[in-house]
Amino acid sequence: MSGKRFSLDGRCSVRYLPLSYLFIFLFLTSSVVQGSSLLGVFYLKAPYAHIHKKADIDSRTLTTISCGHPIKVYADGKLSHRWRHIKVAKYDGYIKQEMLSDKRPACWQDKYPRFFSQMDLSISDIYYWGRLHDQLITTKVGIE
Amino acid sequence: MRIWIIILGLLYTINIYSKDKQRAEKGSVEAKELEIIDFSTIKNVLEHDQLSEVARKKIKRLKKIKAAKEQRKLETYSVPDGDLFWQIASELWLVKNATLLKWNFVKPDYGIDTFSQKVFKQLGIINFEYKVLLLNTSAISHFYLPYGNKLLVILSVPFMRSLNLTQSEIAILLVEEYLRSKEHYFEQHVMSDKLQTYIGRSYMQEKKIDYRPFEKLLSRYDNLIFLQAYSFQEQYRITKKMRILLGGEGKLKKAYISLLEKIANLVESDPDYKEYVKFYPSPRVQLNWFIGK
Repeated sequence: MSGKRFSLDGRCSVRYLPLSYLFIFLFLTSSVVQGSSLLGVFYLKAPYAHIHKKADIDSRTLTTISCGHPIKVYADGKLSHRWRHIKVAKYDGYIKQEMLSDKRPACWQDKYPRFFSQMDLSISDIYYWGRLHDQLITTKVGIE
Repeated sequence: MRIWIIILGLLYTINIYSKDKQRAEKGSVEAKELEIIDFSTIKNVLEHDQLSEVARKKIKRLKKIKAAKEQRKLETYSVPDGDLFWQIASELWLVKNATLLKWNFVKPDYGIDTFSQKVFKQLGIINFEYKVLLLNTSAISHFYLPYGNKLLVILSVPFMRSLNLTQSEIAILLVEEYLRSKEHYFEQHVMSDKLQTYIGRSYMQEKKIDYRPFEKLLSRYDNLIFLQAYSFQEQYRITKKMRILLGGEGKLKKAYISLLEKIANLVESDPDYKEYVKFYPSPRVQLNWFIGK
Protein backbone atom coordinates (compact mmCIF):
# COMPACT_ATOMS: atom_id res chain seq x y z
CA MET A 1 0.00 0.00 0.00
CA SER A 2 1.58 3.18 -1.11
CA GLY A 3 -0.84 5.43 0.86
CA LYS A 4 -0.36 9.06 1.66
CA ARG A 5 2.60 9.70 3.87
CA PHE A 6 2.69 12.36 6.58
CA SER A 7 3.73 15.59 5.05
CA LEU A 8 4.43 19.04 6.38
CA ASP A 9 1.67 20.60 4.31
CA GLY A 10 -0.89 19.28 6.82
CA ARG A 11 -2.06 16.04 5.25
CA CYS A 12 -1.51 12.83 7.15
CA SER A 13 -1.56 9.18 6.33
CA VAL A 14 -4.28 6.82 7.55
CA ARG A 15 -1.64 4.76 9.31
CA TYR A 16 -0.90 7.72 11.64
CA LEU A 17 -4.54 8.12 12.67
CA PRO A 18 -4.46 5.63 15.61
CA LEU A 19 -1.34 7.40 16.89
CA SER A 20 -3.00 10.79 16.75
CA TYR A 21 -6.09 9.37 18.53
CA LEU A 22 -3.80 8.07 21.26
CA PHE A 23 -2.21 11.52 21.67
CA ILE A 24 -5.63 13.19 21.85
CA PHE A 25 -6.80 10.61 24.41
CA LEU A 26 -3.68 11.09 26.56
CA PHE A 27 -4.04 14.86 26.38
CA LEU A 28 -7.68 14.74 27.41
CA THR A 29 -7.15 12.31 30.30
CA SER A 30 -4.20 14.30 31.64
CA SER A 31 -6.28 17.50 31.58
CA VAL A 32 -9.07 15.73 33.48
CA VAL A 33 -6.67 14.59 36.22
CA GLN A 34 -5.06 18.03 36.45
CA GLY A 35 -8.48 19.64 36.64
CA SER A 36 -11.30 18.31 38.79
CA SER A 37 -12.57 14.85 38.03
CA LEU A 38 -15.48 13.47 39.98
CA LEU A 39 -14.39 10.98 42.62
CA GLY A 40 -17.90 10.05 43.66
CA VAL A 41 -20.87 10.99 45.76
CA PHE A 42 -20.22 11.10 49.48
CA TYR A 43 -22.48 11.98 52.41
CA LEU A 44 -22.13 14.30 55.38
CA LYS A 45 -21.82 12.35 58.61
CA ALA A 46 -21.51 15.27 61.03
CA PRO A 47 -24.80 16.75 62.33
CA TYR A 48 -24.06 20.01 60.52
CA ALA A 49 -21.17 21.32 58.45
CA HIS A 50 -20.01 24.44 56.68
CA ILE A 51 -18.88 24.47 53.07
CA HIS A 52 -15.98 26.86 52.75
CA LYS A 53 -14.80 28.94 49.84
CA LYS A 54 -11.21 27.84 50.43
CA ALA A 55 -9.65 24.80 52.07
CA ASP A 56 -9.38 26.61 55.40
CA ILE A 57 -11.73 26.54 58.39
CA ASP A 58 -11.57 30.33 58.67
CA SER A 59 -12.46 31.01 55.04
CA ARG A 60 -15.92 32.30 54.10
CA THR A 61 -18.84 29.93 54.59
CA LEU A 62 -20.78 29.34 51.38
CA THR A 63 -23.57 27.31 52.95
CA THR A 64 -24.40 25.02 55.86
CA ILE A 65 -25.60 21.48 55.23
CA SER A 66 -27.02 18.84 57.54
CA CYS A 67 -26.24 15.17 58.11
CA GLY A 68 -26.86 12.78 55.23
CA HIS A 69 -26.62 15.49 52.55
CA PRO A 70 -25.15 14.04 49.33
CA ILE A 71 -21.93 15.75 48.25
CA LYS A 72 -20.05 15.44 44.96
CA VAL A 73 -16.35 15.06 45.70
CA TYR A 74 -13.75 16.03 43.10
CA ALA A 75 -10.10 15.10 42.86
CA ASP A 76 -7.75 17.94 43.70
CA GLY A 77 -4.07 17.09 43.88
CA LYS A 78 -3.14 20.42 45.42
CA LEU A 79 -5.15 19.83 48.58
CA SER A 80 -3.90 18.33 51.82
CA HIS A 81 -5.42 14.99 52.83
CA ARG A 82 -7.55 16.81 55.40
CA TRP A 83 -9.64 18.69 52.86
CA ARG A 84 -11.87 17.78 49.94
CA HIS A 85 -12.97 19.77 46.92
CA ILE A 86 -16.74 19.40 46.69
CA LYS A 87 -19.87 20.59 44.94
CA VAL A 88 -23.25 20.88 46.59
CA ALA A 89 -26.05 22.30 44.45
CA LYS A 90 -24.65 25.56 43.05
CA TYR A 91 -21.88 25.77 45.63
CA ASP A 92 -18.34 24.86 44.69
CA GLY A 93 -16.19 24.75 47.82
CA TYR A 94 -14.25 22.75 50.36
CA ILE A 95 -15.01 20.61 53.39
CA LYS A 96 -12.96 18.70 55.96
CA GLN A 97 -12.41 15.10 54.88
CA GLU A 98 -13.28 13.66 58.29
CA MET A 99 -16.90 14.80 57.92
CA LEU A 100 -17.54 12.70 54.83
CA SER A 101 -18.73 9.14 54.50
CA ASP A 102 -18.84 7.07 51.34
CA LYS A 103 -22.03 5.40 52.55
CA ARG A 104 -25.26 7.06 53.60
CA PRO A 105 -24.86 7.52 57.38
CA ALA A 106 -27.51 6.75 59.97
CA CYS A 107 -28.02 10.34 61.12
CA TRP A 108 -29.38 10.64 64.64
CA GLN A 109 -31.61 13.54 63.59
CA ASP A 110 -33.47 11.10 61.33
CA LYS A 111 -33.30 8.20 63.75
CA TYR A 112 -34.67 10.14 66.71
CA PRO A 113 -36.81 12.82 65.04
CA ARG A 114 -39.06 13.56 68.05
CA PHE A 115 -36.09 14.02 70.38
CA PHE A 116 -34.36 16.18 67.79
CA SER A 117 -37.41 18.39 67.28
CA GLN A 118 -37.57 18.98 71.05
CA MET A 119 -34.14 20.62 70.82
CA ASP A 120 -35.71 23.48 68.93
CA LEU A 121 -32.42 24.62 67.42
CA SER A 122 -32.12 28.20 66.29
CA ILE A 123 -30.25 29.32 63.18
CA SER A 124 -27.30 30.40 65.29
CA ASP A 125 -27.25 26.96 66.99
CA ILE A 126 -27.08 25.30 63.57
CA TYR A 127 -24.34 27.71 62.51
CA TYR A 128 -22.30 26.98 65.65
CA TRP A 129 -22.87 23.23 65.38
CA GLY A 130 -21.35 23.37 61.89
CA ARG A 131 -18.49 25.51 63.16
CA LEU A 132 -17.90 23.12 66.06
CA HIS A 133 -17.00 20.32 63.65
CA ASP A 134 -14.68 22.70 61.82
CA GLN A 135 -12.89 23.65 65.03
CA LEU A 136 -12.52 20.19 66.56
CA ILE A 137 -9.01 18.82 66.16
CA THR A 138 -9.55 15.11 65.56
CA THR A 139 -6.78 12.56 66.01
CA LYS A 140 -6.85 8.80 65.71
CA VAL A 141 -4.30 6.72 67.53
CA GLY A 142 -4.12 3.56 65.49
CA ILE A 143 -2.42 0.23 65.87
CA GLU A 144 0.86 0.01 64.00
CA MET B 1 -85.45 -21.71 1.93
CA ARG B 2 -81.81 -20.72 1.58
CA ILE B 3 -82.23 -18.26 4.38
CA TRP B 4 -83.56 -21.00 6.68
CA ILE B 5 -80.68 -23.27 5.88
CA ILE B 6 -78.19 -20.47 6.71
CA ILE B 7 -79.97 -19.66 10.02
CA LEU B 8 -80.00 -23.33 11.06
CA GLY B 9 -76.36 -23.68 10.15
CA LEU B 10 -75.49 -20.65 12.29
CA LEU B 11 -77.49 -21.96 15.28
CA TYR B 12 -75.69 -25.30 15.02
CA THR B 13 -72.21 -23.72 15.04
CA ILE B 14 -73.14 -21.46 18.00
CA ASN B 15 -74.34 -24.52 19.94
CA ILE B 16 -71.13 -26.44 19.27
CA TYR B 17 -68.97 -23.44 20.19
CA SER B 18 -70.76 -22.89 23.54
CA LYS B 19 -70.46 -26.58 24.42
CA ASP B 20 -66.75 -26.51 23.64
CA LYS B 21 -66.29 -23.42 25.78
CA GLN B 22 -68.14 -25.02 28.75
CA ARG B 23 -65.96 -28.08 28.40
CA ALA B 24 -62.81 -25.99 28.29
CA GLU B 25 -63.80 -24.00 31.37
CA LYS B 26 -64.65 -27.18 33.27
CA GLY B 27 -61.31 -28.56 32.24
CA SER B 28 -59.39 -25.52 33.49
CA VAL B 29 -61.16 -25.62 36.90
CA GLU B 30 -60.31 -29.28 37.22
CA ALA B 31 -56.76 -28.50 36.24
CA LYS B 32 -56.56 -25.78 38.87
CA GLU B 33 -57.96 -28.09 41.53
CA LEU B 34 -55.43 -30.66 40.54
CA GLU B 35 -52.73 -28.05 40.74
CA ILE B 36 -53.68 -27.27 44.34
CA ILE B 37 -54.26 -30.80 45.35
CA ASP B 38 -51.15 -32.16 43.73
CA PHE B 39 -48.79 -29.52 45.19
CA SER B 40 -47.39 -32.03 47.64
CA THR B 41 -46.56 -34.38 44.84
CA ILE B 42 -44.25 -31.82 43.29
CA LYS B 43 -42.75 -30.80 46.62
CA ASN B 44 -39.69 -32.82 45.90
CA VAL B 45 -39.30 -31.11 42.58
CA LEU B 46 -39.66 -27.71 44.24
CA GLU B 47 -37.12 -28.63 46.84
CA HIS B 48 -34.85 -29.84 44.13
CA ASP B 49 -35.24 -26.45 42.41
CA GLN B 50 -34.54 -24.75 45.76
CA LEU B 51 -37.84 -22.91 45.50
CA SER B 52 -38.77 -23.73 49.10
CA GLU B 53 -35.39 -22.31 50.14
CA VAL B 54 -36.19 -19.11 48.24
CA ALA B 55 -39.58 -18.95 49.95
CA ARG B 56 -37.94 -19.42 53.36
CA LYS B 57 -35.45 -16.65 52.65
CA LYS B 58 -38.28 -14.42 51.48
CA ILE B 59 -40.20 -14.97 54.73
CA LYS B 60 -37.03 -14.32 56.73
CA ARG B 61 -36.41 -11.09 54.82
CA LEU B 62 -39.99 -9.95 55.33
CA LYS B 63 -39.68 -10.64 59.07
CA LYS B 64 -36.47 -8.60 59.15
CA ILE B 65 -38.13 -5.69 57.32
CA LYS B 66 -41.08 -5.85 59.71
CA ALA B 67 -38.78 -5.86 62.75
CA ALA B 68 -36.77 -2.92 61.33
CA LYS B 69 -40.01 -1.01 60.76
CA GLU B 70 -41.08 -1.66 64.34
CA GLN B 71 -37.66 -0.59 65.59
CA ARG B 72 -37.84 2.61 63.54
CA LYS B 73 -41.28 3.34 64.95
CA LEU B 74 -39.97 2.78 68.46
CA GLU B 75 -36.90 4.98 67.91
CA THR B 76 -39.05 7.81 66.58
CA TYR B 77 -40.31 8.31 70.13
CA SER B 78 -37.07 7.35 71.90
CA VAL B 79 -34.26 9.18 73.60
CA PRO B 80 -30.86 8.25 72.07
CA ASP B 81 -28.83 5.85 74.14
CA GLY B 82 -25.26 4.82 74.84
CA ASP B 83 -22.34 6.66 73.28
CA LEU B 84 -24.60 8.68 71.00
CA PHE B 85 -26.48 10.19 73.92
CA TRP B 86 -23.30 11.59 75.44
CA GLN B 87 -22.00 12.81 72.09
CA ILE B 88 -25.22 14.75 71.47
CA ALA B 89 -25.27 16.14 75.02
CA SER B 90 -21.65 17.33 74.92
CA GLU B 91 -21.89 18.81 71.44
CA LEU B 92 -25.14 20.59 72.25
CA TRP B 93 -23.64 21.97 75.45
CA LEU B 94 -20.68 23.33 73.46
CA VAL B 95 -23.03 24.82 70.85
CA LYS B 96 -25.22 26.49 73.47
CA ASN B 97 -22.16 27.88 75.25
CA ALA B 98 -20.24 28.93 72.13
CA THR B 99 -20.16 32.62 73.03
CA LEU B 100 -19.20 31.97 76.65
CA LEU B 101 -16.46 29.46 75.84
CA LYS B 102 -15.18 31.41 72.82
CA TRP B 103 -14.12 28.40 70.81
CA ASN B 104 -15.01 29.92 67.46
CA PHE B 105 -11.88 31.97 66.90
CA VAL B 106 -9.01 32.21 64.43
CA LYS B 107 -5.85 30.45 65.64
CA PRO B 108 -2.71 28.97 64.20
CA ASP B 109 -2.21 25.23 63.83
CA TYR B 110 -0.43 24.31 67.05
CA GLY B 111 0.17 20.78 65.80
CA ILE B 112 -1.48 19.36 68.91
CA ASP B 113 -2.67 16.31 66.98
CA THR B 114 0.81 15.31 65.82
CA PHE B 115 2.75 15.52 69.05
CA SER B 116 -0.03 14.29 71.36
CA GLN B 117 -0.54 11.27 69.11
CA LYS B 118 3.14 10.37 69.58
CA VAL B 119 2.82 10.57 73.37
CA PHE B 120 -0.34 8.42 73.43
CA LYS B 121 1.41 5.83 71.29
CA GLN B 122 4.51 5.96 73.47
CA LEU B 123 2.36 5.22 76.51
CA GLY B 124 0.63 2.35 74.74
CA ILE B 125 -2.73 4.10 74.60
CA ILE B 126 -3.82 3.06 71.13
CA ASN B 127 -6.81 2.31 68.98
CA PHE B 128 -8.93 5.25 69.98
CA GLU B 129 -9.97 8.66 68.71
CA TYR B 130 -9.78 11.96 70.51
CA LYS B 131 -10.90 15.48 69.76
CA VAL B 132 -9.53 18.72 71.14
CA LEU B 133 -11.41 22.01 71.12
CA LEU B 134 -9.35 25.10 71.86
CA LEU B 135 -10.98 27.90 73.84
CA ASN B 136 -10.09 31.55 73.80
CA THR B 137 -10.96 32.10 77.45
CA SER B 138 -9.20 31.72 80.76
CA ALA B 139 -12.48 30.93 82.56
CA ILE B 140 -11.93 27.23 81.91
CA SER B 141 -8.46 25.71 81.77
CA HIS B 142 -9.03 22.13 80.63
CA PHE B 143 -11.86 19.63 80.85
CA TYR B 144 -12.88 16.41 79.26
CA LEU B 145 -16.49 16.04 78.15
CA PRO B 146 -18.27 12.68 77.88
CA TYR B 147 -18.17 11.56 74.27
CA GLY B 148 -18.91 7.85 74.29
CA ASN B 149 -15.92 5.71 73.41
CA LYS B 150 -14.02 8.76 72.15
CA LEU B 151 -12.30 11.48 74.13
CA LEU B 152 -13.29 15.13 73.85
CA VAL B 153 -11.13 17.71 75.62
CA ILE B 154 -11.66 21.44 75.82
CA LEU B 155 -8.41 23.30 76.36
CA SER B 156 -7.85 26.98 76.99
CA VAL B 157 -5.29 28.76 74.78
CA PRO B 158 -4.73 31.62 77.31
CA PHE B 159 -4.06 28.93 79.94
CA MET B 160 -1.49 27.25 77.69
CA ARG B 161 0.12 30.62 76.95
CA SER B 162 0.21 31.72 80.61
CA LEU B 163 2.01 28.51 81.51
CA ASN B 164 4.17 28.60 78.42
CA LEU B 165 3.47 24.91 77.97
CA THR B 166 5.71 22.74 75.86
CA GLN B 167 4.37 20.19 73.40
CA SER B 168 4.96 17.28 75.77
CA GLU B 169 3.32 19.14 78.67
CA ILE B 170 0.20 19.72 76.56
CA ALA B 171 0.22 16.07 75.53
CA ILE B 172 0.55 14.98 79.17
CA LEU B 173 -2.41 17.19 80.08
CA LEU B 174 -4.44 15.33 77.46
CA VAL B 175 -3.28 12.01 78.87
CA GLU B 176 -4.47 13.11 82.32
CA GLU B 177 -7.88 13.94 80.84
CA TYR B 178 -7.89 10.56 79.12
CA LEU B 179 -7.48 8.84 82.49
CA ARG B 180 -10.31 10.94 83.96
CA SER B 181 -12.54 9.93 81.06
CA LYS B 182 -11.72 6.25 81.65
CA GLU B 183 -12.85 6.67 85.26
CA HIS B 184 -16.08 8.31 83.99
CA TYR B 185 -15.78 11.08 86.58
CA PHE B 186 -17.73 13.57 84.52
CA GLU B 187 -20.60 11.14 83.86
CA GLN B 188 -20.75 10.24 87.56
CA HIS B 189 -21.02 13.91 88.55
CA VAL B 190 -23.84 14.73 86.14
CA MET B 191 -25.71 11.42 86.41
CA SER B 192 -28.93 11.02 88.40
CA ASP B 193 -31.36 8.12 88.91
CA LYS B 194 -33.88 9.81 86.67
CA LEU B 195 -31.31 10.34 83.93
CA GLN B 196 -30.28 6.70 84.13
CA THR B 197 -33.79 5.61 83.20
CA TYR B 198 -34.17 8.46 80.74
CA ILE B 199 -31.25 7.48 78.46
CA GLY B 200 -32.61 5.27 75.68
CA ARG B 201 -36.18 5.36 77.03
CA SER B 202 -39.08 5.05 74.61
CA TYR B 203 -42.02 7.48 74.85
CA MET B 204 -44.12 5.47 72.41
CA GLN B 205 -47.13 5.35 74.77
CA GLU B 206 -47.03 9.04 75.66
CA LYS B 207 -46.34 10.08 72.05
CA LYS B 208 -44.31 13.01 73.40
CA ILE B 209 -40.75 12.95 74.63
CA ASP B 210 -40.04 14.53 77.99
CA TYR B 211 -37.15 16.89 77.27
CA ARG B 212 -36.74 18.24 80.82
CA PRO B 213 -34.24 15.59 82.05
CA PHE B 214 -32.01 16.45 79.09
CA GLU B 215 -32.20 20.17 79.87
CA LYS B 216 -31.38 19.39 83.48
CA LEU B 217 -28.36 17.40 82.32
CA LEU B 218 -27.07 20.41 80.39
CA SER B 219 -27.44 22.60 83.47
CA ARG B 220 -25.48 19.94 85.41
CA TYR B 221 -22.74 20.31 82.80
CA ASP B 222 -22.73 24.07 83.59
CA ASN B 223 -22.55 23.36 87.28
CA LEU B 224 -19.64 20.95 87.02
CA ILE B 225 -17.59 22.93 84.50
CA PHE B 226 -18.20 26.45 85.79
CA LEU B 227 -18.67 25.88 89.52
CA GLN B 228 -17.93 22.48 91.00
CA ALA B 229 -15.38 20.24 89.23
CA TYR B 230 -13.52 17.36 90.82
CA SER B 231 -12.96 16.23 94.37
CA PHE B 232 -9.71 15.68 96.28
CA GLN B 233 -10.16 11.91 96.13
CA GLU B 234 -10.65 11.95 92.38
CA GLN B 235 -7.52 14.04 91.94
CA TYR B 236 -5.58 11.67 94.15
CA ARG B 237 -6.70 8.63 92.14
CA ILE B 238 -5.77 10.28 88.84
CA THR B 239 -2.36 11.38 90.11
CA LYS B 240 -1.62 7.85 91.32
CA LYS B 241 -2.69 6.47 87.95
CA MET B 242 -0.44 9.00 86.21
CA ARG B 243 2.42 7.85 88.41
CA ILE B 244 1.91 4.24 87.34
CA LEU B 245 1.45 5.14 83.69
CA LEU B 246 4.52 7.37 83.47
CA GLY B 247 6.61 5.01 85.61
CA GLY B 248 9.15 3.98 83.00
CA GLU B 249 8.96 7.15 80.89
CA GLY B 250 11.65 9.48 82.21
CA LYS B 251 11.03 12.36 79.80
CA LEU B 252 7.26 12.27 80.14
CA LYS B 253 7.54 11.97 83.91
CA LYS B 254 9.69 15.12 83.92
CA ALA B 255 7.16 16.84 81.66
CA TYR B 256 4.34 16.01 84.11
CA ILE B 257 6.32 17.28 87.09
CA SER B 258 7.14 20.44 85.18
CA LEU B 259 3.45 20.86 84.24
CA LEU B 260 2.29 20.49 87.85
CA GLU B 261 4.96 22.95 89.05
CA LYS B 262 3.95 25.49 86.42
CA ILE B 263 0.27 25.17 87.36
CA ALA B 264 1.07 25.46 91.09
CA ASN B 265 3.10 28.63 90.47
CA LEU B 266 0.42 30.10 88.21
CA VAL B 267 -2.47 29.62 90.64
CA GLU B 268 -0.39 31.14 93.43
CA SER B 269 0.66 34.19 91.43
CA ASP B 270 -2.05 34.96 88.85
CA PRO B 271 -5.44 36.06 90.25
CA ASP B 272 -7.07 34.98 86.95
CA TYR B 273 -6.35 31.36 87.87
CA LYS B 274 -7.10 31.48 91.60
CA GLU B 275 -10.27 29.50 90.95
CA TYR B 276 -8.28 26.66 89.38
CA VAL B 277 -7.76 24.91 92.73
CA LYS B 278 -11.53 24.73 93.15
CA PHE B 279 -11.72 22.58 90.02
CA TYR B 280 -8.55 20.54 90.36
CA PRO B 281 -7.65 20.56 94.05
CA SER B 282 -4.16 21.70 94.93
CA PRO B 283 -1.55 21.18 92.22
CA ARG B 284 1.17 21.49 94.90
CA VAL B 285 -0.29 18.54 96.84
CA GLN B 286 -0.76 16.70 93.57
CA LEU B 287 2.92 17.17 92.84
CA ASN B 288 3.81 15.63 96.22
CA TRP B 289 1.51 12.69 95.52
CA PHE B 290 3.17 12.18 92.19
CA ILE B 291 6.76 12.26 93.39
CA GLY B 292 5.73 10.14 96.37
CA LYS B 293 6.33 12.52 99.26
